[in-house]
Parts: sequence; structure tokens; C-alpha cells
Amino acid sequence: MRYTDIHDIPCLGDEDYPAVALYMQELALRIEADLDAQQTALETFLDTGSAIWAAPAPTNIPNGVTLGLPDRFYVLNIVQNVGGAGLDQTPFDPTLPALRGWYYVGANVNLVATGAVTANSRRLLRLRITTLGLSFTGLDLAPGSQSLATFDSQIVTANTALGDNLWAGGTYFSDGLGVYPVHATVFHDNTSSLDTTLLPAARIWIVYMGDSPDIREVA
Amino acid sequence: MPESTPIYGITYPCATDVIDAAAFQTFANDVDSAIATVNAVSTDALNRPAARIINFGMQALVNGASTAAIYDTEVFDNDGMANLGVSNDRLTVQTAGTYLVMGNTRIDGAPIQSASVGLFKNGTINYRAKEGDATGFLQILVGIAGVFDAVPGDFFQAFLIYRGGGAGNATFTELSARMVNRP
Repeated sequence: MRYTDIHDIPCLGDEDYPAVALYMQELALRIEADLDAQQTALETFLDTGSAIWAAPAPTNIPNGVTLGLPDRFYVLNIVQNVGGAGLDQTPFDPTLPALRGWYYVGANVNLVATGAVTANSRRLLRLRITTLGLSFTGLDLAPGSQSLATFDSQIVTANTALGDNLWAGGTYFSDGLGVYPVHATVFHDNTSSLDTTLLPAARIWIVYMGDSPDIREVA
Repeated sequence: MPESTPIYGITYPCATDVIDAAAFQTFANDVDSAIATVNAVSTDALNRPAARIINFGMQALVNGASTAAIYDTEVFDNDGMANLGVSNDRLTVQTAGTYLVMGNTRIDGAPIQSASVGLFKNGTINYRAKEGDATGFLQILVGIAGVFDAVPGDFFQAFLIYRGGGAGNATFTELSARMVNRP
């Protein structure tokens, strides 16, 4: 039996003609193995993975206090969807898995003042990808904690109790060497009343876009 | 008695079988079918359902009212999600999956206090972003992105809220959706 140079597909040699049946069996199995590997790779690419965490509402937030999601604000306790590629997420734990590649992350929160609003007060949503062992000092990280990426959104002149809807997000390339928590933090300095969350209350989502060889630029 | 491979069912003869032209044709046809199966998956991978609709025309907005953005141009649609002649305010899912949906708008007014865009699925809000909340803006651009699970028949819309003095108009709106996960 001889074999082709690239995919090792078998072909008959002079000595093999009595074994045509065996040849066809080996050829069939080799073709199947190559096609199956290709199909598996394609299906993995199609099922790249995504996850959404949603938070219940309402949750009252005292003025001037920085509150983090999920640990000090409220738990994101509804995982609406989990996909493949290592994104088998658990509730309460928005995390990039130990999987190298590009991620698209986003967070959204709807803050509403429960009473009077301090003129030109500030509302801030900060979405951060961090290392493990993170600790906060107010809106900032404690010494020794490391932020890998930060996405901010804010309204600096809030004046009404009609709702302040913030969304922050962007892309991040993870080295895949560890799992990286995804934190969302909200802040407001409305000293005239509490702010609370109303539907759509708060969500964090993560979409795995693929490793760098999978990212193509198209015209 | 011929046997076949376990995954794609490629038929091959055994040692005691007669190996004639028909056996080779059956073999070739089975390989052909297997390749077609993989090609179908490849086509799926290269053509995930996606659509983008836009509108550079002027859409009047009532102060404080939530108004569905409307669109007049289909930029891209490979899965029949847009049907602007029937419903010019939405993308309707044809293939089940998880979708990344984005909505953007530019709102002009004199002056604008705030502008927001919300992403809705089947008439229920899931995500909203707002810009401004002070007087004096002449134009606000605001956008939002969100992830949705969806099945055929579900539809995505963007609703706009303008607050300010005088007339407000959306002078650009955009809605796009792309499948990021199969179900």
C-alpha cells in the first residue's frame, strides 16, 4: 500500500490488487477521519460560547457609595444562556474562562432616583476585567489588585428622576493563562435621595469571539 | 456483505464480496454525500445569520415618548431577518441561536436634554443606554449592545426616547443583529 503526501490517503501498489476490498475499507476510514476532524472543528467554531447574567430589581443604593457587582451590589443570579468554548458559567460568577482568544464583554444598568435629584450629579458604570484576588477601595482598586481592562460609561449631569441608563463594554484579548473575573461597579453622588435599579436592571454578558487565527478582516 | 464506516456510512466491500463497477460507484456516492455534509457545516460557519438596517432620514420624536426607530435601508441580511416593506422597525429572527444586537442613533434637537436607545425583544426592553441629562445639547449620539437568546419569530427593535425643548428628530438610526452562538 502507498500513501499520498499530504493526507496519507492510501492508494494501491502493484502488490495490492488482490486486496482491493481492504484498500477500499482503509480508504473509506481515512476519508471519514479527515472529514470528521474538519466537521468537528467547524462545529466548535460555530459554538463559540456566550453567557448573560441578569440581576433582580429593585436594589436601593445609598448616595455616594460605590457598590460592586456582584459581591457588594447584588448577585447576578440568572444565567440566561451558556454556550460552548469553556463558557460554562455558574451563577454569581461572571468570569472569562482560561481560554485564549478575543472576548466581547458588556454591562448595562438602569439607575433611577427614588426622590429628589442633586443637580448635575454623576452616575457611573465601570466594567472591569481583573486578576483573581481583587479588592476594591471605593471606586478604585486596592493596592496589589490588578485591572486588565476597564470600560467606563457615565452621565455627569444627571438632573431628573426619569432614569439613567448606562452601558459599558468592549473587546479584550485574553491570554488564557487563568480565569479572569468580570466586575461591574456602579457609583452615584446623588445626595438628595437613594438611587435604585429598575428593569432592565443590570446585565453582564460575555461573548467569546475566537482565537486570533479565527479573526478575519473583511472588506 | 458490504460494510460501512460508522460516522458517514461510506460503504466498502468485504473480502468475499464481488467488487464491480457498482461497488465503486456506491463508494464514490457515499464519499460525495459525506463531503456535502461537511460542506453544509462549512457554509453555516461562513454565513452566520446577520443583518443590519439603517436610516439616514429624519424621524420626528415626541418629547418624552418611547418611539420605535424605523429604517429604510437594508445594508446586509443573509437570513431574511429584515422585511422593511412589511415591518420597518425590526429584525425578525429566522434561525434559533444567541444574537449580539446593536442599536445606534443620532438625535438632533434645539436643545436636547437627553437621548436614549433601548433594545427590545418581542416588545420587552432588555438593555438601554442614555446620554446627557442637562440642557444645551444640539445633538446626541447614543448606542447600546446586548446579547439575546432567540428563536424563529422573535424580533428585535430599538426604541428611542428624546427629552428636550422644541422638536426632536432622529437623524440616523441603525439596528444590527448577528448570531454568536447556535442554541
